[in-house]
Amino acid sequence: MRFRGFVLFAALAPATQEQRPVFRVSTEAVQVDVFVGEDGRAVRGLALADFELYDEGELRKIDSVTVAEVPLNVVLVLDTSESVAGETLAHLQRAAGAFLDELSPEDRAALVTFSHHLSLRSGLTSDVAPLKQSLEEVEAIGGTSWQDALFCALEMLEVVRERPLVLLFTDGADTYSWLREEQMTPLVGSSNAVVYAITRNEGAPLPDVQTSRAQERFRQNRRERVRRTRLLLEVTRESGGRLIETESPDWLQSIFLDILAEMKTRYILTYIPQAPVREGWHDLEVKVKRKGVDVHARRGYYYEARR
Amino acid sequence: MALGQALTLAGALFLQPDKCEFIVLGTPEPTSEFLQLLNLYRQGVRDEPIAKLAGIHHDELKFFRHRVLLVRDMAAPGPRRTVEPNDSCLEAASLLETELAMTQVGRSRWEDADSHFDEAWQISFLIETPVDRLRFQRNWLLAAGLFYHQLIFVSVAEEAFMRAGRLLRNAVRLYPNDPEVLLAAGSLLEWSGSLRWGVAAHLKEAEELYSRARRFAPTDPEILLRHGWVLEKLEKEDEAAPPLRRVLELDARKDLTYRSRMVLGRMAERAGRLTEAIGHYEAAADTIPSWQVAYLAAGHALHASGSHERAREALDHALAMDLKSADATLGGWWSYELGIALRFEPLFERLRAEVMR
Repeated sequence: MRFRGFVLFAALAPATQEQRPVFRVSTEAVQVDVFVGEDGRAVRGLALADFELYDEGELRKIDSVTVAEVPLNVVLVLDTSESVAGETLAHLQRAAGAFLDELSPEDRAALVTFSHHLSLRSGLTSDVAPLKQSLEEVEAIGGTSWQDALFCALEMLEVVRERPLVLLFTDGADTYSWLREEQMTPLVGSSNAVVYAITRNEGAPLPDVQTSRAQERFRQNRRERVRRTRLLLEVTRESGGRLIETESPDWLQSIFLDILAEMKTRYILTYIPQAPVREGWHDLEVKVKRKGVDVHARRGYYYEARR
Repeated sequence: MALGQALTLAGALFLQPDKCEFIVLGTPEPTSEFLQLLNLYRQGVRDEPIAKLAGIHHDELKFFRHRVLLVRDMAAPGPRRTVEPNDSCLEAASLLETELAMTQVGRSRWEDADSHFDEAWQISFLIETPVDRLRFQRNWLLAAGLFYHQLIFVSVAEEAFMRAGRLLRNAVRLYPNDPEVLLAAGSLLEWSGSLRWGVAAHLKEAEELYSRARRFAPTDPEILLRHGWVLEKLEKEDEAAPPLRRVLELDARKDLTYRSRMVLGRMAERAGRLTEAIGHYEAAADTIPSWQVAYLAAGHALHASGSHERAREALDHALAMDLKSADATLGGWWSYELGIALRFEPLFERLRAEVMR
């Protein structure tokens, strides 16, 4: 039997880093990666007594809370389609480079780029030099397939036990993915990874010409922007991550670094579910006993018996 | 004959080109420049006439052109006909206008381009031999429509789609039983209907066009694939499977076989028949190993089936593929959307070759 989903397996499990974890009731624990913010800033110093965890609506005993000092395993999933050519790509390269520079020596990172074609530029490594080199070599060309790229990143992180994180940047609508929109949220829900997404939102410029065609184009652009944002919001929430929209590529570097800082201030809650565990999806809710705070945590996990 | 007319005639005769055997009498305005350029074009010299005529203001050019075309109007007062322009010459004039239109599109001067395309279309009605006129107009409409269709993929979607739609719908109206015309129009509507922000009703229209095309070309693998796929997009999966399976039975082009496999795989996956889906995806990958999407799709189906090691192998393979070796620019899904549209160029080449004979 095993958990699929947000479940990370506790230290008692003998699996090595690259083995698939196997659920054993006596030794296995569920871990939930949680960010607590207030006015956009991380809330630090919380202890076990500050948290409540509900599994299927039932309050569960949390066994431990740790501040996230566990090393990160980050897959950078970056849009290199034609729409990012020029200034945006240069900002993106700088932002990703700065992010890599700020990683701890124990952290690992990988780089996946996507246009209408997906490329693994570098697998998970703690040596950021080749990653940065790969970043310099990317070119912006073609369409956008962030959904396929996200799926590949999640699958890469399936074998990772510690702090799997996806950092996705896209500035356009998905035009070339094989996977469909409706497949994305379940995929994220069945993964361990926390997904952060960054997207361009250039605001909603009013049509410059008051013709019916200009109005229609304006409405079409707005619909598409809303649709794209909604899916990104959905998948990031599902994973316990966040969606950040930026109006300018100038801010990418500070956003990348803020996300890294946020990851370093997340809490990891651990609890051991009581057998028998029902097979299927389990809704999860994490609460903090403090007013005015935002809590970002995975919405649930999927438990299936190994057959 | 008035002196002015005689001088005009003398000048025109002096400059009379070899192949385009008509001149205009009685006009004080010169037409020889246009005729010369037209003949150069007929001889296969394209850039010079196009560049020169494109540099002339549209209204001035219209004047030249009208002087030429007036010779066809027997009842018109004023200029009198000496030698009638032949059909080949009119086809060249129409094509030259078309080239000018395309030049204006390159400059994003859409309205100017519309005027030139419209002139080209009007000139084509002067082609006297009915068979030649029908042949020319059919190929011209198709080529012009596809010219705009391929432009959709270079970031001018709205302007190009509107014009491509107008031309291709006109082609369907005039040639309702022509499978190539139906296929071209269907591909445009299928593209529009498949987009998230597109017009969903266009999928249904595309399905009707493909369905009609199949009646006239029942074993054309491209029509079978597109009909099957559009039916899948309309979630009529029972109807979609037979034409797709038929493609696999035919000795079809590899890309058509590949895509039929992919769509059959998607339908099987959606129905929960994961083993069948994986089989189709793997067969697609065997058909064209350098296209990435079959590995991705196989990875997803394997993931869903719980075969995580094999899923990762498929995805590792996909991710390791080089962008260039994967022929990604025209490979994969790009060529499905763009492939038919790019046929505008061979169509125009054929039309040009015909006027050079």
